[in-house]
Amino acid sequence: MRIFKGNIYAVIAKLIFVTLAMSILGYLMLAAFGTGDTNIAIFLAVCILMVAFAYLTNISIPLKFFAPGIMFLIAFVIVPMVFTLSMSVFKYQTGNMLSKEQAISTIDQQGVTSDENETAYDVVLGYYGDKASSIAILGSEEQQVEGAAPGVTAKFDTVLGYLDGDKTKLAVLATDTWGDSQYAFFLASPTTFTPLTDADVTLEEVNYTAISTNGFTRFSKAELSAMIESIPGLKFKYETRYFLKLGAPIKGFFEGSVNQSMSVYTYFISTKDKFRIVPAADVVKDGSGMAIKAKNFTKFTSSQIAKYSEEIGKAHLAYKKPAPYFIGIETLPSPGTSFAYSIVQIKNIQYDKKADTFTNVLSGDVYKDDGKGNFRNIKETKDYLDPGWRQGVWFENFASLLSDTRIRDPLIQVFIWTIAFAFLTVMTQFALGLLVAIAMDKKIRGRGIYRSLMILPYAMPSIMSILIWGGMLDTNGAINSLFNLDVQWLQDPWMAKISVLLVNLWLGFPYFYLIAAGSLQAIPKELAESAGIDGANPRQIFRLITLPLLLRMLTPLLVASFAFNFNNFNIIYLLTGGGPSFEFGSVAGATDILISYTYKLAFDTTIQNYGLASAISVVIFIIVAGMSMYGIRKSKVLDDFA
Amino acid sequence: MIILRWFQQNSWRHFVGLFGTIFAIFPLYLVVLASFSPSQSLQSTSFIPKAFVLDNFTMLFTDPTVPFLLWMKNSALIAGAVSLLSVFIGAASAFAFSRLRFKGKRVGLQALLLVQMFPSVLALSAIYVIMERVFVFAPEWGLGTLGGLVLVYLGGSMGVNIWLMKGFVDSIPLELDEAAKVDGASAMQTYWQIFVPLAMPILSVVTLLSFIGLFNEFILARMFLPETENRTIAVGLQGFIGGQYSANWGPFAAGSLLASVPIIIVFMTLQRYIIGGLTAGSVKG
Repeated sequence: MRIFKGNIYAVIAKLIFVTLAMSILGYLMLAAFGTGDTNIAIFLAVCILMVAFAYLTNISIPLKFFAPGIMFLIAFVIVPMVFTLSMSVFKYQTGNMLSKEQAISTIDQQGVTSDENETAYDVVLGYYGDKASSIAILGSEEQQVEGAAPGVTAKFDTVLGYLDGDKTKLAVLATDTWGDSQYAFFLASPTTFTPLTDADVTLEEVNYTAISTNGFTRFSKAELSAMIESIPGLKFKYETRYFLKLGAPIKGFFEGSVNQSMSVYTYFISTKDKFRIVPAADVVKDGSGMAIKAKNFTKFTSSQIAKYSEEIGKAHLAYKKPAPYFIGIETLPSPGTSFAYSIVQIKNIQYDKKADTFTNVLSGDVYKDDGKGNFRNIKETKDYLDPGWRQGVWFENFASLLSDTRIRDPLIQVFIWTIAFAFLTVMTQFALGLLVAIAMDKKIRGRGIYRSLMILPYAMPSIMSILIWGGMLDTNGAINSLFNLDVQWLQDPWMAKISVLLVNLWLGFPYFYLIAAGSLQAIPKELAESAGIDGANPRQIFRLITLPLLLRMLTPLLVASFAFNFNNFNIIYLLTGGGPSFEFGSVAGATDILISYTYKLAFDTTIQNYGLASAISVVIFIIVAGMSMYGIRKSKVLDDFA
Repeated sequence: MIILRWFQQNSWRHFVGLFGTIFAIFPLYLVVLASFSPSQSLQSTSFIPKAFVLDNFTMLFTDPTVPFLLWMKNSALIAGAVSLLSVFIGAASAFAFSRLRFKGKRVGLQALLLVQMFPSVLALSAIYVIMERVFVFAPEWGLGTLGGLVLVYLGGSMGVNIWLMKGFVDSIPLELDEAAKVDGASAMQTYWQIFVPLAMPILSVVTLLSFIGLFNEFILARMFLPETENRTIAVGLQGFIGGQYSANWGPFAAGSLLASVPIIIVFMTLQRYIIGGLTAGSVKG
C-alpha cells in the first residue's frame, strides 16, 4: 500500500520557493552584470541553472539535497581558499597589488614632474569656442618690469661704499641736492633704508653733498673703476616699496633715481592642443590685473566644474613650450573664488607599448619589465618605478621561507613555539581534565556542585574569557594587585608564553574533564575488578589498564584538539597580539603562532605581504591536513564511506 | 565520625575538586566583583566586595558610545539567522551524504574535510575583495552589512555542520528509512517526514553549538562591520577595551558578564545534549 503520495501543497510550496530563489538570484545576476562584475554574474547564472536543474527536474535526487550547501560552500569557502592559495606563487605585497595594466596606467599618469622653475598659474576654468566639453584655461602670466616710480621725481647725488668695513656689504650714501625729497640724507643698502640728518653726515664742501657717515666707507677710485660695469645693475632700498638705481658717475658721484618693479601680465588661453596668447584688449581684468574673462572663452559655472571635475583633473593642456611640457590643474577653485591652481609639468616618464618599456625623456633612462613585478632601470638596477604589479614568481615565496634569513629566522622560532604551544596546551588540558575526571569518578558529596562550577569556563563564551584574562594579567590588573606582585605577565617573553598556556588551560580543561568522565564510564568496571583480584594495586590498574584504554579512545580527540590549537588564532591575537616582539619593529613576537604571524604579515603591518602570507598558509594547510587525516584514520571515520 | 572517615577516604577527591573549582571560578568571581564595584580601576585590592552599585550596568544602557543592547541584538540576529539557516541547509546535505547512494560521495566527503581544514582567517582578504564587489551591485548584501556577514558565515559553517550532522544521522537506524521506502516514499518525503522529525533534538543541539560558535567569532566580524552601531558584542566589547584595560574595566566587566550569562544558562540547561555532541568530534571554538 502506498502511504506516501505527492502532496499538492508541498508541490505549490516548492514552486513558490524555487521561483523566489531564482528571481532573487536573477535580480542579483543582472545587477552584477550591470556593474561589470562578470565573474560574480556568471557564478550566479550557474547557481540559477543549478536550482532549475535540481528542483524542476528529477534527474539527480542528491543534488536536491546538496544544491544550496554547494552554492554557499563554493562562493564563500572554496573560491576564497583557491584565491588565497594561488596568491602564494605571486609576488603580491604592498607596492605590487595591481594588475600589470593598472600599474602601467598608474605609472603613466604619475610620470610627471614640475618644470625647472616650478611655474604655476592661477587660472580660470572654462571652454574655448562653443564646445563646453573641450576644457580650456584662461591664465595670466606675470612678469616683473622695472620702471620709474610714478609720482616720485626726486633724484639724489650718491656716493658708493660699503658698511662695517666689509666690502661685500654695498651701500650708498645719498644727498637730496635739489631739495625735492623729504629726506635730506639717507643711507641705503639693498635691504635697508636709513634716513639721516646733517648731524649724522660729513659734507663735501663744494656741493654740500654727504660723503661719509658712521659705519660707511667710500670706495676708492681704483675700487670703483674695477666694479664700474656692475654698477647699473645695483639696487638699493628706498622707503619700503621702491628702490634706487644708480646712473653714470659724475666726478665720483652717481645720480640715484627712484624706481619700482611692476607686474605686467601676458594673457593666454590654453586648450589641449594649443597655447594662444591673447591681446590685453581682449580680456577683462580684475583689480590686480589678472584676466577673468576673455573673447571666445566661456567660464565654467560651478555645476559644470563639478560635472567635469574628473576630466579637469586629468587634462593635459598645452604650454608655450612644446610637449613633454604641459599645464595640469592641481586644485579646483574653492567655493566663491574664480581661480584654479595650475602648474606647468613635464611628462617625463613615457610608455613605449611596442617595447613594453618606460623611458624617462629627461634623463634618458630606460625601465624594463624585470620579470619580478616592476619596471626597473636597465643601467641602475636599484632604481625602479612605483607601483609594481602582482607577478607570478613560481616558488620564490616558498624558497624565501627557507633562504631569506629575515623571514626564516623568525619563522623557525614561531614554528617551534606553535608546536610547543599546541602540544603543551593539549597535554596540560588533558592532564588536568583527566585528574579531575578521576577524582569525580565516584559519587562523593557535592560532586554536582563541583561539576557545575568547573564547567563554567567552558560554558562561558571564550572570547569574553580571553578578554577578561587579558585585563587580569595586565601589569596593573587584578592578579598583580591582589597578590601584591609586579610580574610582567604579558610583556616578558617567557611570562607571556606561560600566561598563554595558563589561560588556555583554564579555557580547555573542562572539555577534557567532560570527555574523560564520559570515557571512564565507558570502560567496563570488570577489567579493573579482575585486575584487582589478580593483585594489582590501584596505581598499576590505572597505569596498565585504564590509561591505555582511555588514550586509545581519546587519541582522535587529542589530535583534533592539537590541530585546533595549532590554529588557535583568538587566544593569541586577543591576549598578547603575538607579542612581545622579538625585537623592536619586528612583526613576529614571542607568543606568535603560525596563524597569528601570518595574519599579521598579511594585514597588520605597513608592508603587507600577501604572497608570503599565502605561502605560509599553504604550509599550515599541509601540516594541519596531514595531522587531521592521521587522526581521522585512527578514529576510523573514513570506514563509513560507502 | 562516620562522616569524617568518609571524608578521609575521599579527601584527595575533594582536594582536586576544590582546586579545580577555585581555578575555574576565581576569574569569574573577580569579574562579578569588578562589575558591581563603584571603582573604575583595573586593580582589585580585596576578594571581599566593599560596595555594591549598578553604575557600570547603567552606563552600558545609557552611554551612546557603548550601544550594548544594539551589539547584543546584532550578535543575536546574526548568530540566530546563521545557525538556523546553516542547519536547515546543512542537514539536507548531511542526510544525502549519510543515506543516499551516488557517484563521487567518497570524494565529496573527503573534499569537504580538506576544505574545512583550511584556516579561514587566511582567506580574509579574498572574502573582503569579493564582498567589496558585492556591495557595489547589491549594497544590502555586501561589505559592512549584517546581511553580508550572514552570507559569509553561512558559507563558512557548511563544512563543519555537514560533518557534524552526518555523524548524527549515521546513528539513526536505517530501518525506518527502508520502511518508508517500501511504503513508496521518495527521498524528499523520507527526509521531511521521517528524518527531520526524528533528528529534531540533534538538529537543535547543532543549531545551539553553531550559535555559540558564532557568538564567539571575532576576526571576520571585526573586518566586516567597522561601524560602531553594526558591531557584534564580541567586536564591540573588544573595541571598547581596545587594549586600554585600565580605562573602562568596570563597564567592560559588567558588559562581558551580561553578554555571557545567556550563553552560560543555555549551556548549563542543555549540557547533557551538548556534551553528547562534543564527542562526535567537534571542538568548541
